[in-house]
Amino acid sequence: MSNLQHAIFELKESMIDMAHLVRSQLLLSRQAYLDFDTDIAKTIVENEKRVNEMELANDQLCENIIALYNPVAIDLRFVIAMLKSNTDLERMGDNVEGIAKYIIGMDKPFKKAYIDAFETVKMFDICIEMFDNAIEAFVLENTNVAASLFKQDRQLDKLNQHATQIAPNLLMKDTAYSKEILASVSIIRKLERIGDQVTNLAEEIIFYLDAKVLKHLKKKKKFL
Amino acid sequence: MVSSTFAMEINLMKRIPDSLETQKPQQKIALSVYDVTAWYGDFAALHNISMSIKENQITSLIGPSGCGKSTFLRLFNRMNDFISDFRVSGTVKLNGKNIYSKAVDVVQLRKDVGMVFQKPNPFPKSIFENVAYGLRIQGINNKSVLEEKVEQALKQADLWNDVKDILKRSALALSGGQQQRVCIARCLAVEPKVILMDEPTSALDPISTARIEVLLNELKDRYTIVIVTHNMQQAARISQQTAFFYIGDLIEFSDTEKLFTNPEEERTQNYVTGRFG
Ligand SMILES: Nc1ncnc2c1ncn2[C@@H]1O[C@H](COP(=O)(O)OP(=O)(O)OP(=O)(O)O)[C@@H](O)[C@H]1O
Ligand SMILES: [Mg+2]
Repeated sequence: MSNLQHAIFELKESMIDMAHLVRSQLLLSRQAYLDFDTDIAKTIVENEKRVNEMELANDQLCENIIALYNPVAIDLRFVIAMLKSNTDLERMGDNVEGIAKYIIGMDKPFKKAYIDAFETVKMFDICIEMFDNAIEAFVLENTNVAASLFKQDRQLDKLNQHATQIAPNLLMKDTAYSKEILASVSIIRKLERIGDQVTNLAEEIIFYLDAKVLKHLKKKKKFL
Repeated sequence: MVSSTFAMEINLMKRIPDSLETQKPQQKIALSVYDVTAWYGDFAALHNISMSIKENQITSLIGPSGCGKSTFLRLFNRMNDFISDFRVSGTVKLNGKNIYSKAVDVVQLRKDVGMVFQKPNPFPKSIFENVAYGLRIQGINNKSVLEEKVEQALKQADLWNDVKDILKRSALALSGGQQQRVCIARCLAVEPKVILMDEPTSALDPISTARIEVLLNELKDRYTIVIVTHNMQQAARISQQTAFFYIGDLIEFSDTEKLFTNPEEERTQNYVTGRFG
């Protein structure tokens, strides 16, 4: 293996580590939300520092590869894809932290009926599944797996719309829970953003493997 | 590697919209090669090569040692003819004229198609006489004409300021980079159409190399340049199109940006990324 291949391998491993860290943060946020567990939420906020550190470290690895090895073709696309994915992962970390902070700011647990009405658990599960697909696609270098998560992203968009639609009515009916309802809507927005960011990861994987650019294409399915 | 419909889809999805690319003015073809096979005795060093080299741009030839780059380059000024058992089939044209036809004046051809070699090879003469060499062969002996043309060539070769006060000194006393620029000036003095360069900077230090690269970038507005280089970053930096050869075959020939970001062929990718070769 050439030195460049070594450096690329190291970057890939480091990116996988970071993806796993952000994924575990997402799992924790699901649990913190369902169990209304502010200790777990505080752990998430604490862990977020590590996500930020890893982002800096990965940026450094990318910069070194570009400066030292002049990567071209698939190697260049890989480094570019990693630079962007690194930013996406870091922002996903921020969004998960945002969810944790909403939970910490809450006075009382979310009502079971509202959790069901908003389908928040489903959203968490879709996000986690999409993230698992992205990690699998990256590890196995499989563009089909990457492409499979575009469909799930549209589901998240719909659930987010649904939550926005039902929220006003609930807010009027149950003023005692207005803070929790608003927080739920915000958490759902964050989950929808996380879905977008996982989608970006998948697009970058397809870009670096196949040199196909899917960004800003409305009907991604058609091209896969 | 990819089916044609799939390739079309990729074209649709390129980052640069095609409309931008078609805005480029149409470039003329300077050199065209059609179905060329070249032999040294029984050994075919090039197999059925076809390609068109555009005017006023730099075209790079890359590929592992022994793949036939120099053989290919020497087709254009018929330098291979000096090798006794060399044979070529197919067509090679300069501005639409077959350069291997019987009617061709090879001396005129070598004036139109100049060549710069890997090792700077100035003659053991003065700087002035080195640059004037080709002009004298053409029968130009008028002192003021020679002086004017030599000065012009040295200026074009970015060497005038270095040597204008020492024109009578031996060219061998110059640095390697300066010697190479003398050779470029010698080539430019006879006002060629095409300049062939076989690894022209491989014997030079990075600063002399950078100076020559800047120079080539300027020269391409007046000349068509074909360059063999083992330095892939150099090919990427200076050329508009790049051809990748592998054991006598032309594997891929495309815009340099494409070849270095998204080559069509796996063998190209393996070579440019250093996975073999
Ligand atoms: N004069 C010759 N007689 C016989 N075979 C030759 C001659 N010149 C070149 N060859 C062979 O033809 C093939 C192509 O050689 P060529 O010099 O064109 O390669 P190249 O790509 O320029 O290599 P390098 O990068 O090492 O300069 C090689 O296999 C070489 O051994
Ligand atoms: Mg050679």
